[in-house]
Amino acid sequence: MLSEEDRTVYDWQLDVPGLGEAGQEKLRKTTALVSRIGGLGGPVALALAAAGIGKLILVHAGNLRKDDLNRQILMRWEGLGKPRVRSADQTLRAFNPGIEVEVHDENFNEENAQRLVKGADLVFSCAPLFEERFLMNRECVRQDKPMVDCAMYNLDGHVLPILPGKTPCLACMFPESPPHWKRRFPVIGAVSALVANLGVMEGLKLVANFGTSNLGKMMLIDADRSGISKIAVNRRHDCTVCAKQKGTFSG
Amino acid sequence: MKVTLRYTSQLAAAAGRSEESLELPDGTFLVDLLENLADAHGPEFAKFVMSAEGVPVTTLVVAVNGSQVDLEEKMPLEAGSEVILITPMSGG
Repeated sequence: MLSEEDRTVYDWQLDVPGLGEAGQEKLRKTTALVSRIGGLGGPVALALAAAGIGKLILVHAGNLRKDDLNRQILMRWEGLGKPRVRSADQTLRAFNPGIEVEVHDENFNEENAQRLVKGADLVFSCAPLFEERFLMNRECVRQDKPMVDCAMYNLDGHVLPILPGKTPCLACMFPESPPHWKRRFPVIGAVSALVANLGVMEGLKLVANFGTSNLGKMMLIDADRSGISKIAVNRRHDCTVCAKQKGTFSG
Repeated sequence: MKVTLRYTSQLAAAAGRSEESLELPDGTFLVDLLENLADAHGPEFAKFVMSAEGVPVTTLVVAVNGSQVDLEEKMPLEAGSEVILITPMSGG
């Protein structure tokens, strides 16, 4: 049952066909893990907060740098040199005090993966390192948790909603780390936010069971030509991560 | 026959364009097209497409007319096809 406060805050959102109070209640009961909270994860977290997700678990090690600020929209200038998660926590609590925020000044790793994913109902993969994304993918498949993988480079991006055992996982798409990947990438904040918000929509639709599902598809975002393509993607029958996962998520 | 090629992220950067149209002999196989593209666009492009052994790299995803294709299958292209080459992105 939504509180009167929630009915007020999300009033215009309740009019979205298929969402309504029932969908909003599902969102309010959902915990979303977002790692990391930079150019992709920051707008993911903000959009989830705006939508009224019940709880956010935010994971990102390190202190804010000036060259983060063109895209990391949870950050503030006065947070330079301090943990990014601290700025994120302050921003989100000020924006929506009605949601719960839990932050971790660490990156997603082998030691914390199980614990962090266990605490979430929905996971957003927003890290710039393939090792973190593959680890998150592996843990989400293992724990049968839905995951939305978001990535971008220059004016391109992709969103891949993953339902373990039902859709291709990240390892189905990319069975190994790309050998020619570079840590630094061209980025405009508007592009990473565009990709992030499309990713959020996939997560919201999955949890609240409304709208058109894009499960089984990868969305390609072209911010240069202003287009979004959807391609049907396939599970690998011999995927070392998800081939044996049947999947039980039902929304 | 004419096919349209789209390249994403680092492939587009290496090719110097995100889209191009090519005239190909009827029945050209996709894998042969990939080899030709690797030759045409040089080593910075080729490394995302073909391995040293002359087969598509495992991290390349190719979609033809909106669907991912199995690069181990020898697939002939049809006139008017749209072929998208996707290399892994990991900006965040």
